[in-house]
Amino acid sequence: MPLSFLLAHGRESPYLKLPKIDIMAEPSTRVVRLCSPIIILLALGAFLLLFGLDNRPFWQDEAETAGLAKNVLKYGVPRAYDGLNIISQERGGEYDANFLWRWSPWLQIYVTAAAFRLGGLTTFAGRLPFALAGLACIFLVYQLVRRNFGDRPWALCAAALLTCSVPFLLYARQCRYYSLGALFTLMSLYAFKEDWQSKFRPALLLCVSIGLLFYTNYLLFFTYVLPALLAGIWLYPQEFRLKRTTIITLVTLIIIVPGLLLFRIQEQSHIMKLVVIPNNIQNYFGDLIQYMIPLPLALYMLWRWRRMFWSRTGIPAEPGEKFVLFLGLIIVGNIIVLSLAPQSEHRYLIHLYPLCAIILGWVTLRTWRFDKIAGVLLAFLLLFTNWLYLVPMDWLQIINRPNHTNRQMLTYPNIPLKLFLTELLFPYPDVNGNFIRFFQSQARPGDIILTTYGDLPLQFYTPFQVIGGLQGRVSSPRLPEWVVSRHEIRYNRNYQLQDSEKFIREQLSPATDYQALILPWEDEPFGNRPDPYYHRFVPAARPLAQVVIYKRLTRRHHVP
Amino acid sequence: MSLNSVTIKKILLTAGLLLVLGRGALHLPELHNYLFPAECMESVVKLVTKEFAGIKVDLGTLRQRVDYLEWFQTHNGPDLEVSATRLRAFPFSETIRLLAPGYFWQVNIILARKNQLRVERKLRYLEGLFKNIDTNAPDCRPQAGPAVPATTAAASSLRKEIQPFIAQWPIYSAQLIGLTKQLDRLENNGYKQ
Repeated sequence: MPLSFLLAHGRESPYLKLPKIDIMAEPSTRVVRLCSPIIILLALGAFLLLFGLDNRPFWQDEAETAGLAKNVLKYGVPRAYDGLNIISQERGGEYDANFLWRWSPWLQIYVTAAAFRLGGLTTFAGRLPFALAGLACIFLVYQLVRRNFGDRPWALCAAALLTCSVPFLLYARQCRYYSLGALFTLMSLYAFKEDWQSKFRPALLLCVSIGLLFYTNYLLFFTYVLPALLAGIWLYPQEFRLKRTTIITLVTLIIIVPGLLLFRIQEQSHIMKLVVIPNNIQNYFGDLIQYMIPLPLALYMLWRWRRMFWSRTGIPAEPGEKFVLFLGLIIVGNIIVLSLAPQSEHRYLIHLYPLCAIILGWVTLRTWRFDKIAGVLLAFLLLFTNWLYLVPMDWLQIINRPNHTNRQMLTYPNIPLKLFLTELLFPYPDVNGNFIRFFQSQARPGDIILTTYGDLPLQFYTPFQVIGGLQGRVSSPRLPEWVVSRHEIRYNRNYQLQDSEKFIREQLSPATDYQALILPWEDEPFGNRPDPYYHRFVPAARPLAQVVIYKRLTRRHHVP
Repeated sequence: MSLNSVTIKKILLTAGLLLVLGRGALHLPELHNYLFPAECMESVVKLVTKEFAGIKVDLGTLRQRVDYLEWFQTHNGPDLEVSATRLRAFPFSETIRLLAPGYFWQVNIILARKNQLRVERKLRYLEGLFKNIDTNAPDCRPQAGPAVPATTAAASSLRKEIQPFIAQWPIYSAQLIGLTKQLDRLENNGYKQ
């Protein structure tokens, strides 16, 4: 019997039990479904994540992933050398003797390679899978809350907060692992809230999502899994039955063991420095209250759960609040573990944005149920402004702004979505775009370009040999035809001048061997870097430094 | 009618949120520049003053640390007694010096380099800012890098206020170059047990 007939008449068969559907009412049901708030939110999210995805070219970090993905299409594995250029930002420490990439996990590289295979070697194709993962995060936030707590307004509020979170959108629009990390984190939480102790599928999902989180970025894996495990045991002890927990741990270990052997985790731990830990803790908690959970709300939650720190009786009984506390503990634990890693970068917190959205959604709904006016005000402040984050910090004189920031950035009180839409609707050629265009039109086949930074975007978009950057020792068969000494001075992890900077200062004579071309573009430090401390939505009207490119003089150009 | 505690809480909560809303709205670049055009210029002076104060402190710390390392290297030994003066200046370093001289050396070199980098970046940033002011800043549009004054009169007044800092810049720059050379020397000679 056809399915449509069964659907129309509500017939039952031993295998299929369907409710009767009023055929006359079906079209309006469809309309209601299409106009349901989550569909509207997802449509908005899709627009914000996908519109103008290739407005700006890859910046250095994205170009690393894209370059390696390009090599995957050629060699089948991520090789750092393609016969012309070397991809490196750690002085050659990322690959082995065969140039096989052994630094960061490969999942993001293969995802990008698959996208390139399907969509061609374009910026849009490279960023698309990650933007879609960002969209999936929005849906999963909604689904996680709605399915487990049956609170649709909370689910919608959390999904809306994530959709309007400009830092999250910026990171999800990158050809990098950030949104994948957030997606697998959410998937693991989703599986955890299912009956993973007795059912097979949730247990499998838990293992796979955690395993894939490792292959997304093992730093996220280590910093998330340990706090999540401890917080889970503390808050949901009855759910950690020994046998099932052991099996899941073992299966996850089996998944990650090849990666443990392949990636040079042990070697990277050498760059751990105890001296930077206090600074890292300060930075990460600063980031948390500046972009993720406003200080007043963080203090409110600390006050609310204060008893929990010394007694189990302080643990909330209401499942929703208990889950929010669980997420809060994961975030705090994550930051503490993360502080042991050498670099403090906002990108290592991106997988926590969906968790923050769930927490903030809960607080907003709680406020609304307490007082309607306050609820509306809070929702407005959180959805459309960054004022609740920055204004209290300014009152407390906690100023956390790098030198290069200006008033049109997220470090100042603003309407982030307005800035974001301005960038989407009125794109501008950033520093990498300008360099790419210049060399595509000016350099000749066989030319060598030496630059102190931004080498990887040039390698991806132009056919030339590009040396320097953070690649380590500069070895050039002849004087490079083009030299770019970027305004921002680059140092390595030990705060020593990068080799390319040293090479230009000590080995080259730009004044005699080169002609300086001063170009009318700003030499901004990064380009499309998503970090909210550095991201520029609009170009500076008055550049602080202009781009200078040195062109090698041929013999006849030499002035005696 | 007396107010109960719940009503008071509601009023306080709403008032607090309204306060943030009002303050945030006033700080919106478009509104702020329209309502307080003079603050734009003041903010440049404030910024430069703050950066120079930071540079002075950082240079002082760097000098102290370089002297400390130089003293350690010259006397060439971890067995020197703990001094109260040095303990006050570098409590952590002086404590670990006897216990782990190698680690002490490494940590202090890194901290000195970090300090040097911070000063160098600030000086570079200010150099760009001064150049902007020198070339007669035209406006205070919100997308302007650092805020720069609107009128020529304001710009000339700003230049006057900033003049001492512009004069101070090469002095700090020279000091940084000297300390960097000293630090390079120290690092090249290294720590010898």
